[in-house]
Amino acid sequence: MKATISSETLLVNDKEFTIINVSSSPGSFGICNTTRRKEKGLRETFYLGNEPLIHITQKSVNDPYSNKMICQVSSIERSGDFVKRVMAVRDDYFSNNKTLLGALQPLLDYIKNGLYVIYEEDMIPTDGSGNFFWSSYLVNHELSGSSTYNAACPADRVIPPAFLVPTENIANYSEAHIKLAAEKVKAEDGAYGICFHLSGMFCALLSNHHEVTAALMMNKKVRCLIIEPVKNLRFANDISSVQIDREENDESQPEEDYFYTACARIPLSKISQPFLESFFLTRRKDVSKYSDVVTYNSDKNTTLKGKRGISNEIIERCDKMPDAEMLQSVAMIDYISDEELDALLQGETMLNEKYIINQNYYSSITLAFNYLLYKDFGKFLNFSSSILMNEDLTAVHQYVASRLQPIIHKRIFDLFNSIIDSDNAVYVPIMPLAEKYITRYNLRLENEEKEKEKEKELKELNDVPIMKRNLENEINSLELAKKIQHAAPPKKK
Amino acid sequence: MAFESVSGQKVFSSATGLTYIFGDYFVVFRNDSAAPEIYEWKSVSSITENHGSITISVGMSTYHIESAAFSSEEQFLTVRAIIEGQIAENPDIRYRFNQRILPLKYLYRNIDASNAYVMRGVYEEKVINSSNISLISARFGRVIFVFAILLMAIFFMIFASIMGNLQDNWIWCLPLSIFLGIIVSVVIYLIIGAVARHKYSSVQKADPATTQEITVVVAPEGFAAVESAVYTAHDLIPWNEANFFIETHMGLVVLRDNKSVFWLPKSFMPKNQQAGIYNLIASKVKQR
Repeated sequence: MKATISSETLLVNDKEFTIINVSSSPGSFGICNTTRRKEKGLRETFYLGNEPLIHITQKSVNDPYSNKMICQVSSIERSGDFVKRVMAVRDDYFSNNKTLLGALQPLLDYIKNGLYVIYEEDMIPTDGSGNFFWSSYLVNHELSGSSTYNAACPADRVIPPAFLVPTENIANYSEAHIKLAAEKVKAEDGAYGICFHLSGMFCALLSNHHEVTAALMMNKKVRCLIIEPVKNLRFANDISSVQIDREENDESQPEEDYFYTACARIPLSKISQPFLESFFLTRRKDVSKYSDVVTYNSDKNTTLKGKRGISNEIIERCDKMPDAEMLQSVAMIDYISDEELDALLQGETMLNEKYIINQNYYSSITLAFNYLLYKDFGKFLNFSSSILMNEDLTAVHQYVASRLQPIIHKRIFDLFNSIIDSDNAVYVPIMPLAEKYITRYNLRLENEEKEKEKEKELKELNDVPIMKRNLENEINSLELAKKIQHAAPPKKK
Repeated sequence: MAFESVSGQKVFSSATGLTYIFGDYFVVFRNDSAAPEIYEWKSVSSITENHGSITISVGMSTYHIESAAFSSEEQFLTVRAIIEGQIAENPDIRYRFNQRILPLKYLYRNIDASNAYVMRGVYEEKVINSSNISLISARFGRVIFVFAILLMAIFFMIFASIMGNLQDNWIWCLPLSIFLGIIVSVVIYLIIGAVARHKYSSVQKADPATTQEITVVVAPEGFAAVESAVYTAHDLIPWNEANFFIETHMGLVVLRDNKSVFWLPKSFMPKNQQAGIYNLIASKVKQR
């Protein structure tokens, strides 16, 4: 049985989106609810056929603002010819210039019934905390930026998905394949893939894991076509307890009910009645023959086997990638002036009768901190040293000190040195972090010096003058040898 | 929440021109252009079910969905299952309903059954009546017996007071008292039986489930008796909701607070599974 698919194009905040309505589908691909016991949290599973691939667990059952745990439990290769279908979709859409609906047809024929929004986004191949995406989800752990809603995000903003979750087994990771993929990435000026949105800023990558890795090593973009199920309806008058304070002065408060998606907040008035009916007829816990089997299979304790060593170059590159907090801050703040930064440091949340960022002071400080880390490193250094030097801001000292740990810089080193030298009691909580940083910095410096010495030695070795093969020289040496041969041996005493 | 996986239903009322959607939300579409009115179930104040029609009050609005608006009995039963599933989650909703042959859906919990016996069939009137009479015998049998003895004594005393001299007349007074006591008790028993029959026929008129195929589930975790149209395999009533069961020559009746929770006619049970089903029920509730 083939699915019935229809589409609409929408313009939201000057950005174009395609909404797709799928009905009468066998539903062999998508996300289903596999919660067994609610007291252990809500569990959703991204599945293909009967195979559960990725578990998404929300520990706090009634808190959509809490981060979730994401874990890869199986591999896409176990799901028949799905990989081939995804590759065909990827080639048709990105290389063969087929229409969106035409290209996606082989996937949409099997996707679960419901509404989907489709869009393109540049992705980062990490887990949102600076770890390589392919090897980061083998153990179930909480991920920053994975919550359904973000409490600090204004109503007119969205935090688009940015991080990838693998569906291919890490055992398939191969340097040789990356080298091959690198040629393709070079030719296409980036890696292109198909993703399925899981939660918050996280998407499951359905194809091209080696190409994405090659793009990371070559510092090229990773462009993905994202299929996101439309699941969350929010009411215009629905103000969560977290947002109540902020909403009083919030001009961005929506005027009508809307669908909350990772890419946009879509007002219901922009969607036709048949599509709305389809949304309301599809229930949250839609049970099918697949979801029953997937729920059963999800309870088996399966883990992916076959770990591979990831090259240091990949690890170092991932470490330098923007993390979830930085991207969240950038999505929420357009621009922040020096005047506003100064006001924040003086303990103000408002400037000229307008909130600088939001009403919560410490949330504003951390957002500004992460925004500057992404946008302006010079200002970031000034801002972080001002925070650490300000004794009234002890509540954020720990946060700032821990966020500074991975950044190796002389000014941060000096800052931590001055903290260690000071006898001020306010710095006691961050003293271990400061000492840790100093040790790391010195170690790094030593390693760099060693490397420099090694390089110098190598250079010296290379600088030894090589005797040029000169005919004149060779003749002279031959003559010299003859003379030695014919010369009379020294008289014995 | 029970019955949360029952598929959403779209109902068009030609009388009002409104389209209703029953699902995770209660939605009303007025026409193509206007924005839909979307209600969370927790905001619904009351629901009344009356002979196939449903009236929903929410905020300042009241929506009456006439029985003709439902495309089939199955659709009505599905809508009713969705509503009762939501009532379990939002017990503040005032709910008025007609008599039922099956347990109310808000008694169900979201439980997956393991090693369940799943049986299907249509409830036959004679089976239900027989079960009802057995139920009455179980409930009133002892009372009627005591009542009969009392009646005999009363009749005997009445005869004695009328005759004056018991020594000469007891030989015909005693059998007459016993006979009258038995006759009156049998009449009372027959009246109660007739009331039970009438009760079922009134349920039959009010509840479309009486003509539907019923799925009965008996599992270690609980039991279910639902219309096959809304059977999900994920919803059961835990055994602690039942007190005891009685066995009749037609089947089993599981009871709670002296009211039947569900009937399990023998005709539903495959012969090779009967012993297993009996043992499972007997291990969970007492037999009366």
